[in-house]
Amino acid sequence: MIHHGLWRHWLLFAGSAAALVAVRLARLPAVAACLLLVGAAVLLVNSALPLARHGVRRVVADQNSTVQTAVFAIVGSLYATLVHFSVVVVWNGWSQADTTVVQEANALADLERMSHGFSGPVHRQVRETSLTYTAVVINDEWPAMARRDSAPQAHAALSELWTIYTSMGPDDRGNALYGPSIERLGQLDDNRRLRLRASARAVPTVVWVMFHCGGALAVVMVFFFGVRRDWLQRLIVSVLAGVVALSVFLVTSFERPFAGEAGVRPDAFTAVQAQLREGDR
Amino acid sequence: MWGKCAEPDPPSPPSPTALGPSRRERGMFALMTVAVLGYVLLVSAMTPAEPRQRPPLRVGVLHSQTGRLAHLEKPLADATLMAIDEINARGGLLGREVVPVQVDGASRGRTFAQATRKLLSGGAVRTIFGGYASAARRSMIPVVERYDGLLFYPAVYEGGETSHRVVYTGATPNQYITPAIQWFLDNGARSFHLVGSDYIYPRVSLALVRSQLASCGARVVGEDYLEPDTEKVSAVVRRIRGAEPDVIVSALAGATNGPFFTALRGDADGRRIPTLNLVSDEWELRSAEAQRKAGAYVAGDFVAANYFESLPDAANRRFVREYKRRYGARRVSDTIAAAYAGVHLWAHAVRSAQDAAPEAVLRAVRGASLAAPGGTVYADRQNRHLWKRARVGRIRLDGRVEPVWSSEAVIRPAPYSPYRSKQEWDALVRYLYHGWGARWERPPGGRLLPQESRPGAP
Repeated sequence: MIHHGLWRHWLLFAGSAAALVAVRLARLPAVAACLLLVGAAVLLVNSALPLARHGVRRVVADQNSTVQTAVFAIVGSLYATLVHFSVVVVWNGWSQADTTVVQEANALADLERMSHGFSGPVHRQVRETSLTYTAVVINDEWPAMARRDSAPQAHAALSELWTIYTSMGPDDRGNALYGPSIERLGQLDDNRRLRLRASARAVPTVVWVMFHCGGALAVVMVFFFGVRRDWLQRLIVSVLAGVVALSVFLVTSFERPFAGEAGVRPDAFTAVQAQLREGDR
Repeated sequence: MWGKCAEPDPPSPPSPTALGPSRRERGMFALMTVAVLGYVLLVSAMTPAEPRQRPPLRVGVLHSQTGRLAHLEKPLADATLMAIDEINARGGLLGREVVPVQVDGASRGRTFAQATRKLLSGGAVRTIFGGYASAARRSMIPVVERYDGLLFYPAVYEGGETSHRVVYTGATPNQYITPAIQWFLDNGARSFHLVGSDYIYPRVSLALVRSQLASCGARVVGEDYLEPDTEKVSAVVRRIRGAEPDVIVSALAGATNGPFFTALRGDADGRRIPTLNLVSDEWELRSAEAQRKAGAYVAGDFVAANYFESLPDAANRRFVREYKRRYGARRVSDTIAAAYAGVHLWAHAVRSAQDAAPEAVLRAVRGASLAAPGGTVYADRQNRHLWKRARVGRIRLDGRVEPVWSSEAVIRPAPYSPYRSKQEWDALVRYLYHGWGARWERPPGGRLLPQESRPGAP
């Protein structure tokens, strides 16, 4: 293999590495981000291949030894385990966040329905505050959660709901629906807390380091495999890099349940809001 | 060797490269050309165009400079002008200087309406900062709506209205009255006497208090309305002493406060009944008359508000220091802070919308938030009021108010209190307006309107 014009490979290597970082940081549509990530990863390994061969040309094996194959199998298995573990963890987190949102919206809908059994002022207060809560959660808190933040107005509306029930007159407190309403209010509060906690969750840095290092090591090991045809080796490293990039994309997409296109949507709250507005007419 | 001219070398045959620049040279030349062109484009894009004189952005500042409310409204105009100065000091808005057009409302609702028409009909002014008394606000709103203008109203008010052309930077009753009453209930108060001046704000506010107390199982032992600015308070004071309530809820305004508290507290033998003031905010209590006659008597009483001068946040300390430095004011009240915040909220909306037209501002103001003196406020997306924290303060002997309670979070603005339906609030307002002969207060010498009947009310 002739190694002249290495600067082009260096340039390509640096460019594709920069593109990888840029894609990771930029807020792109999911499909575009996925394609760019895989494309940049494939470009990166293909530009790195001649550089690696040039740098360690005496080491590249013409014949693959059994030891080499076994080590690669071990590294691959360990990495696959890590990927599997990460994907399962983030997917579980995403599913739980989705369930939490539905439970929170259900508790709010129940609370508002039960308020019909109380006096006029209590019912009006609960209905108006519930409407405000849904509007604030949809319009303010959802975008805030994508930034791992929350909306103070949502907390305020929830506090107001508590105040309505804790400051009720004796007649309303004697209502049979008082206890169940307090229970629903507690569920609402708990689920909001869980939702905010889920929005702030992140894959630990050490897992990310292992994820990236493991992927890089797996690809680099293939560089040292002796393959007679150059195109075949390029194909192998490209496929491997593509799979690693897809795994990173998958974990990144589900890492934050309320951010990005794959994030949990406030559909449950939208449905409750529509129901409350319908009741207003 | 130097003295001998060397034979010139025979001209060598031109090589292909010597005929013109090499490929590499051409590349370098192209690269340099692109770099120079790029630099020129970048510089021209970043250099501001020849500064043109843009027309100023005129806004109305409509407060009473004369009449009985002038001493209350002048500080509001000062706060508005201070905020405008600050905006201009930072380069104005959209490259335009903000120019205040000051007009006198003369403490009369009708004059406020005329002044609003005069400001908006010319077209140069589209936004007005102003109003204080409810009568002024209610007189201004139809004019503002007719001329598609925009009003930033700074005072707390009685609720019962939502105009799509008004941004209310004062509080609605559920943001200061309801929580303050609840605070008294939580602290064991069970009987209340309500007293207020006979105009729209006290009537509607105390009707809300009455409904809230009924809903909570507490008692209203008496309810009195005095002719605005009257000093004849002895009969009411006698009734209050006779009823011996746990708390007096006062919505007395202006000149009545001095005689009322003097008569109530002048007799040292009587039991001291704590009073919750809904009108007399920090500044009003320290008017010359209140100081002279009743300053000491109100010490220990309570005030329901959203803001106190002594709040420790950095934005408030800066605001209070600057306001006092400019105007030599002794105190800064809730309404002054709201007037100041209103201008900055408007500026924030203009910057967001990149347009000063009322429609654009109204769109941009929805959901906006602002670090105002006393804490961050949020503009409601639906009703253009601000989410604010409720506070209760106790008046000290030196006249300052110390906060004794603050709500856990900001409170959602509700112009129509849930203790009655919207239709009932509207009916109450209509009843009072028509009962007073198409006015927003009891006319001088006019009869006292009885409580409106509410058959089947909860």
